[in-house]
Amino acid sequence: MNRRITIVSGKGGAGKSTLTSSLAAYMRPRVTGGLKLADGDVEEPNLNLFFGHTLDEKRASLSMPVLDRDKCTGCGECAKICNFNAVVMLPKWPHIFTNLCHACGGCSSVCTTGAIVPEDKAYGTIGRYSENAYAFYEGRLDPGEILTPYLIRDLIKEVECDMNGDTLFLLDAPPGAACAASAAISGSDKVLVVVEDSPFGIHDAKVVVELIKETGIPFALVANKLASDSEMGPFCQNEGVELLATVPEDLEFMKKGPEGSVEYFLSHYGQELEKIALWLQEGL
Amino acid sequence: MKSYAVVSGKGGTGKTSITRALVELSGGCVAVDCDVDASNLYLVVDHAIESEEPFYAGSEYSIDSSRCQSCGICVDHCVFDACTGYTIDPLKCESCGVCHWYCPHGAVVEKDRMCGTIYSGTSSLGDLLYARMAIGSENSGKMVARLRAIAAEKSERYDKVILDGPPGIGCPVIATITGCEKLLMVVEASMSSLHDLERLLELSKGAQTKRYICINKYDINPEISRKIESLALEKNLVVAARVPFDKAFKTAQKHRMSVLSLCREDTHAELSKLGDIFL
Repeated sequence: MNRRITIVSGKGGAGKSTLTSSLAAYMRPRVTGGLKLADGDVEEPNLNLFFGHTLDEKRASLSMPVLDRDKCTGCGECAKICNFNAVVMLPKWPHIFTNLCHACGGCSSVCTTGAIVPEDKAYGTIGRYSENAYAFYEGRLDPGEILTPYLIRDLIKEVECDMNGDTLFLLDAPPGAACAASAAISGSDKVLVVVEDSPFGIHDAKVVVELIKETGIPFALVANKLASDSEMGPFCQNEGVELLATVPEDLEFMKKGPEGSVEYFLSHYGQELEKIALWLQEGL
Repeated sequence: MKSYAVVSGKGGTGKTSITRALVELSGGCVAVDCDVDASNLYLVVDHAIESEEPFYAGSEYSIDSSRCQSCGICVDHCVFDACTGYTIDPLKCESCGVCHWYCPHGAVVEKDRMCGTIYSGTSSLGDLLYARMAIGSENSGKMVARLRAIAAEKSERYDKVILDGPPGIGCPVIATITGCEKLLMVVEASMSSLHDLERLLELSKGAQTKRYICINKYDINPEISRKIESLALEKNLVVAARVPFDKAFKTAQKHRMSVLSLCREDTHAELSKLGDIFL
């Protein structure tokens, strides 16, 4: 069975990409149907820094409206349907602000003279690397673009096209708990929450857990940078969830660059990855 | 009134702790947490909430089953696959309203979308503004714009507005840095942070904003710190401070205090210098 596991944290810098890359390295020889790993933090994609794969890139695009003034009768219906103020009526014809457009297709659908035609506009890049049953993907939003959740959904679709019926798909999600995180979580089979053991980390994890609970998707917590005076206990108790795995505060680990951290993680915290691996298989 | 934004690209580089120190060093300001879906600044600024207001932006749509004839017209027009014919999936819906426009039976109900709550507070350091976004909500950029508008109303009392920005380079980051006097990019000595800084520089290159860099955890990886320095030199940016790794940052968070009162002397000196240069 295909299954998608999404790794979130709420707070940025909690250790999502470090855990995701290590978990992928751990799972790769252990899955039968192949492993797909994707970086869904499309505003700041960092996951490939851990691997250095050479990616085949293709541009991701959206259908954005373009006006043909010769065909426009100036009826103004396009501006009326637009909820985003992206189509504004001027005395004779509308003006389209592409940077506000959400590509809903409303304006072109109401235009009776065919004066508004959707055209593809690139807004990011999807990179892909594959090697036997393993493949790596990355979404990379163009600076200045705002449709983060769209690129995450495009990325997920791209990966899902390559799945063979028994594939494990690990998705590294963006930080936060707004529409971008929600785009990554939606449709997942399970969610792994990386909680940084600090007041900020726990605060932001609570918010993202609330979002996951709303979707009803099963989830588990992994504590990172666990301190001796940890505050994880009360948090888990309140959420009614046990800690699945823990990684302690480790200055030596922190000093590692992305290149060295997967190896370090596997050799020092391999048993924690095993716990996660068992949880991944439960009920699937 | 002048606005000073603190951003980072990558999350977890120390934005909020450094903002907290700047707020203290400013001698009174309006502090605004623009990271609306994961706000943390209020956790380390002792404050009293003066008022709160709900924040509405855009519309939300649902289907009135008593009117719905399951004709499927909404399904045909929804490019987000949010309309299934009987329901609208709120996590997929972009609030474009196209379903509402086309429904021949008036079964799509439109109402203002509640996107979260905005809190105004006061502290011994000045005014504090922050928000709590509704779970999974959109319009974070608009929410940041609203926070900044409220901050502008408060500017009679304080001439400085300090903005603690969200991570990333998307919508709420653009809303945070637009029109700012100065922009501080907090980078930690890690490859990921350096990579994200480059994207942030790309995003902010056209802006009429003076840009500064603060290297945090400077001594964690001296080689990367050197790379950040050369990038700064190449782009003509001021490295305003080189803050060492100091456990006081975490302790301060735990005790809901400023790092300035707990940190080592060398950390203190760098943070003070940052205040002098940036503010």
